[in-house]
Amino acid sequence: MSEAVVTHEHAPEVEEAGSVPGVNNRKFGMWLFIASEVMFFTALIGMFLAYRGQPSAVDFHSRLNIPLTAVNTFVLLTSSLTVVLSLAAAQAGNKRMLTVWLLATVILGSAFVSIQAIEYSRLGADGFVLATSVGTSTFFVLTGFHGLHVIIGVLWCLVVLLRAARGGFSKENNVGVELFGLYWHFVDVVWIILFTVIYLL
Amino acid sequence: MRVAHVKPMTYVGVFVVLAVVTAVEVFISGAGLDRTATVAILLALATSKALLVVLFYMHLKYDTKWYTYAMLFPVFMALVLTAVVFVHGLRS
Repeated sequence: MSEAVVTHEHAPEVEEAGSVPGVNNRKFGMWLFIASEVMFFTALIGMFLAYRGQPSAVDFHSRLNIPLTAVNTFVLLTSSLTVVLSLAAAQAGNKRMLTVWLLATVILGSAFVSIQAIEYSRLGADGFVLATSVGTSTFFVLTGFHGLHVIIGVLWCLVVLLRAARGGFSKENNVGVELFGLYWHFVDVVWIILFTVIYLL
Repeated sequence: MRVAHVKPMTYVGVFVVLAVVTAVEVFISGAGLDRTATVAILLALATSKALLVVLFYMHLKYDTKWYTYAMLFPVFMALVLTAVVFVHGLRS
């Protein structure tokens, strides 16, 4: 284990009967949910890849705005940083920085969805909507479902933020922040894959 | 329960790597390299970024391995499916 990590034992919650030692059942449940989400997005990415060679899809992909999306990728990566910093603040018992980083996450997540909305409206103005061709259908369904995940993440972050502002987390009890973080980072990982598969390849 | 406390500077360091690699990706996609090389490099860079987030931000590097085990099967299935579709796309 590296020097950057300090691992110690403490018991914020009573360990549930029958649970595997060292496993937090809520976190394990979150990982199982993420496992199902991997399959969900794999199906959509597979669909996108299966049709990306169609002439209408090739023409559509050449019109995608890479600089705008690169900025948006940067926004989402930054939001993942603010989420881990919020968890670090929670673990340090720093309520003020916990709320600051969560608020920053809400702003960055909202910015991501807003920039995606700008991208969609520009494509729409050029005549590219969901039903235009198989290329636009696979694109909007895939990126749309990801955007929906970001919107849900922003709402979840607001709930965590409200709880944090009311002093609902402490040094010992901050699994609620970590569960939200796992979801948020997963949505970030999906975007890392989508940015390459859809825009760069 | 084991709780990993990672130093904030480690998180910032990972972020800097992610941001720089993203810039490199955008550069490579427009650099006009050989198509096969471009695809191989970009997929490798995206996989590296995803692994960085999963290991450090999602703490799989530090947490109990049971969480990692839960991910092995779906990730294996995801790789099989995308590989099949990818190869199919190359042939058609």
